[in-house]
Amino acid sequence: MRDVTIADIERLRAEADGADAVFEMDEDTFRALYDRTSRALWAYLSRLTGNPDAADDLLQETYYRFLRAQGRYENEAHRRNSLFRIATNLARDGWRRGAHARLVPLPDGAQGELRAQVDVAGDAQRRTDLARAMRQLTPRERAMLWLAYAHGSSHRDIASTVGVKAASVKLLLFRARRKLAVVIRNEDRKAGRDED
Amino acid sequence: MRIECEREQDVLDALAARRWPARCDTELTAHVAACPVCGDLVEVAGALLDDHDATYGDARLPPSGVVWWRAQLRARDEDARAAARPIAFIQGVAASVALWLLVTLVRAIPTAMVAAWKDWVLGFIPHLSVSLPNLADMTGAIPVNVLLVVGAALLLAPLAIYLAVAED
Repeated sequence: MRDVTIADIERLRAEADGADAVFEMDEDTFRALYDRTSRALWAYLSRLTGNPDAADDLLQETYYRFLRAQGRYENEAHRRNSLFRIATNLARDGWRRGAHARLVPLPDGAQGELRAQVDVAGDAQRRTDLARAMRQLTPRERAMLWLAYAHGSSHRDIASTVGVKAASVKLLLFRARRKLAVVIRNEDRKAGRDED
Repeated sequence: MRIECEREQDVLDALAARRWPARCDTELTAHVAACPVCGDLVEVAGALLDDHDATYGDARLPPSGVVWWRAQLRARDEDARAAARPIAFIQGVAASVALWLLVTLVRAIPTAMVAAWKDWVLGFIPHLSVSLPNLADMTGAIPVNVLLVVGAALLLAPLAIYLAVAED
């Protein structure tokens, strides 16, 4: 997305005086919502796509679509769910279009370099291992696991965000968890062998 | 195979409160060691919670004001483009109709009149001996199927223009 220039802002200010509001939500409400939700949403997108740069773009697109949708929301939780649902669909569309090929991972060598730069007391190592393990799951599995365990969403919210039946969440979550646990243990085992 | 365990919530609470494993009852740690469902849960939820905390710190968020203004700018641009679509369509229709009328008019001009005009024009440039083609004859010589194709193209042109603009 291109940068906003001073001229753009001046133009918008001038237009705002005479024109109808573009969005149903006013600026103050939006800014408060953004401050409350953007960090969690960025973290979600970053883990879902496996790429922080893609998360930057998708974050802005998510808020844009949210504003354009002009939905009626019953409460804060409903708004939040709607945001996460839009973000999930955007990330999924990117995946279907094959964007994951450029979204995802650095080759192993580059990851090693990156790791060397940011590794503080092994935290970066663990995060890189988790990122690699997450890449072996489907986008839906990643989304479900993140929402359930990192974000603390209820099964009903997960169902609505990911687009599955609420009754299926328990089983799908169990399978995804099983799969990730196996991958993490294998990664740990491999890392142990490498150290030996 | 069991897909759930009644102690899952206790494990999740301990993980979320950062009590796992050091500040947990030994009974819960013993349970997790023996229960495959809770074992997986500790492995996965623990890793995701740690990652979540670290990712929070990594977030490079643009200020809310910038996101708001960008969205405004984009919405206004999109609205303006959407409003221009019907105009582009009507312009395409008008251009096609005008072209069609022109062709029809040219064909309707009597041959004698065209010849008279040709002589009149050539009267101004007597030194040139260019033989202008007879337009009426030319259009008359075009086969009907070619004219149909051209007509169809003229009719479809506005639609094509509309779709091209709508793509944006």
